[in-house]
Amino acid sequence: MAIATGRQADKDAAPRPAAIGIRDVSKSFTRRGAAVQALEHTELDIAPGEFVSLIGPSGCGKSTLLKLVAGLLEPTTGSVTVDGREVTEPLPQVGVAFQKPTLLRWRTVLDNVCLPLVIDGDRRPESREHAKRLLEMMGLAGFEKHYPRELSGGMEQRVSIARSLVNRPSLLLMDEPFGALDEFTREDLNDELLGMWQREPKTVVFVTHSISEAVFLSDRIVVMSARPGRVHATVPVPLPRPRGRELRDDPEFYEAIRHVRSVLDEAKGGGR
Amino acid sequence: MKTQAAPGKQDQDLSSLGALDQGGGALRRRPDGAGLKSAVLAVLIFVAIIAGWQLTADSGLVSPLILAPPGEVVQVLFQLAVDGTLWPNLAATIQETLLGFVLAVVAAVVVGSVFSFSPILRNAVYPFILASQTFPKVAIAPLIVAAMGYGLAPKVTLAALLAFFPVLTNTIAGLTEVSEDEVSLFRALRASRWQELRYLRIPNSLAFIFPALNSAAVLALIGAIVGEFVAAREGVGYAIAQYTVTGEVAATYAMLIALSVFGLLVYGVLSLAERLVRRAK
Ligand SMILES: Nc1ncnc2c1ncn2[C@@H]1O[C@H](COP(=O)(O)OP(=O)(O)OP(=O)(O)O)[C@@H](O)[C@H]1O
Ligand SMILES: [Mg+2]
Repeated sequence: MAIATGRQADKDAAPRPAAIGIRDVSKSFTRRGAAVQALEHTELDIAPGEFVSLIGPSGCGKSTLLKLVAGLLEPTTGSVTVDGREVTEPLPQVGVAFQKPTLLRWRTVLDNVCLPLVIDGDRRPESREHAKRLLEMMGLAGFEKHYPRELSGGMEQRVSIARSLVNRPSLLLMDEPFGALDEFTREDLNDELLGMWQREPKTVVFVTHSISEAVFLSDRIVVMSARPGRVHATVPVPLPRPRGRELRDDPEFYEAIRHVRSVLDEAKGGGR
Repeated sequence: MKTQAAPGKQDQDLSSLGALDQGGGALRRRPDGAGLKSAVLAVLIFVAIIAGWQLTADSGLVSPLILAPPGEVVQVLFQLAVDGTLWPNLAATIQETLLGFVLAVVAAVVVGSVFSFSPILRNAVYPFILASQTFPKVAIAPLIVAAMGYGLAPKVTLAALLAFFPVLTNTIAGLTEVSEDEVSLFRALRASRWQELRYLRIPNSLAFIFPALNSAAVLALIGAIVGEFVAAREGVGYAIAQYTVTGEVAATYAMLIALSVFGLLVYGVLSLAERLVRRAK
């Protein structure tokens, strides 16, 4: 696999961001004989280096779409490609932060963050240092030796975000990563995430329920509608970059939020 | 949630039996002074038991053929230790118990691991194991002795038979009860099956296996004693059977006390092993 070997060769160099293509994807689940149509005729293209948020009512298939891109689910029809290759299994250049933190309870915080390194056979001390820096960035300096049971829900979630970043993925898939956090911590971490994204360019697909968070972070917001889940509209966010804290007081920011909200309302209406 | 609840619950059961450290759980550590209070209370309970025992023996309500006073028991225990009757019997029982225990644990972990990788095999064989479990194995002790003779083999076999099942079920549970999300995580990280075993399933199973070891040790001891009751030339069970026939009540109690000291020792060693394994993780 060309991408994988490229990554092995220079692990610390910033990897080329990945492009995603989602072609007429449908996904249905069968539970006890009844079929649930989670996604239907979903079309989406994401350019390399783009920051895209998925937003939509609960149960509209956001997590499902993310898992399809991650190679954890197979589409019922249609195809998902990353850098032009069809996704048939999880790819090495992808980092995933799940909706639930999913930390291993017998590993310390630092060892949880280092799990992807261990699986990759990367035992270099500088990688471990990188893990520590990520924890610091997540506001968890000093918690390296703690166990998951000693953390709050929001802290666990931040550990799982650090874990998704430790491999320097070129594609980052995040499922409501800041959902369990208070507004202040969330804004701090949004700043950190944007800073990191600017330093190490990567494609990010970010699921959220917060319109302001989506607007603050994204180049584009994909608004989905429920039952069956599909892309209702794609809203570009024309705010200039780099974006800092002061943007949150900008009237343009509020205008963008208002616009996305109206599209989302439309999507909810259309879903029924 | 199920995964986390099960071992957690067993941990608590254990810690109520003894002061088992949870391996750095600041949340679970008791407030300062609680340990001292527990110790004082334990001493008081011990004194109360001895006093109650002495009073019951003195009152004459219970026949001296059934209950010996504590002072006499301690004296006999001392005497048995000095005249050398205690040691070979205790050593024999300990040997049978430990051999049976180790045999059972190794067999159960191996079989449990195989089962957890082959659900087909597990579903096919498990009903038989379950049936053999509900079956009172103690009742076949005479048969086993008839088949294997008077030596070490039948006692070890009985000990292993009794100890096998709890370790087996907990090994299977520990290796298979991982959450879908945890499996997804390892898939997303492109972990090999071996890595999934090494970094997810085995560490997960330890929290299940260690509590089972305690019950397995107790069951192995019971198996060994039952074997000795049926037919033996030495062992604590053999000695107790002899003393009961000859009416040496205090000696019977002395042997029981020696056994319970051994039991506590096993418990302590297992707790220590658990702590060391957890730390090494
Ligand atoms: N493994 C599964 N088996 C059966 N049905 C599933 C499965 N995963 C998801 N679904 C169904 O697919 C639909 C979409 O689920 P999904 O988790 O993608 O929604 P979501 O948009 O992420 O919702 P939320 O915002 O609440 O996280 C739901 O109706 C859900 O019940
Ligand atoms: Mg979801």
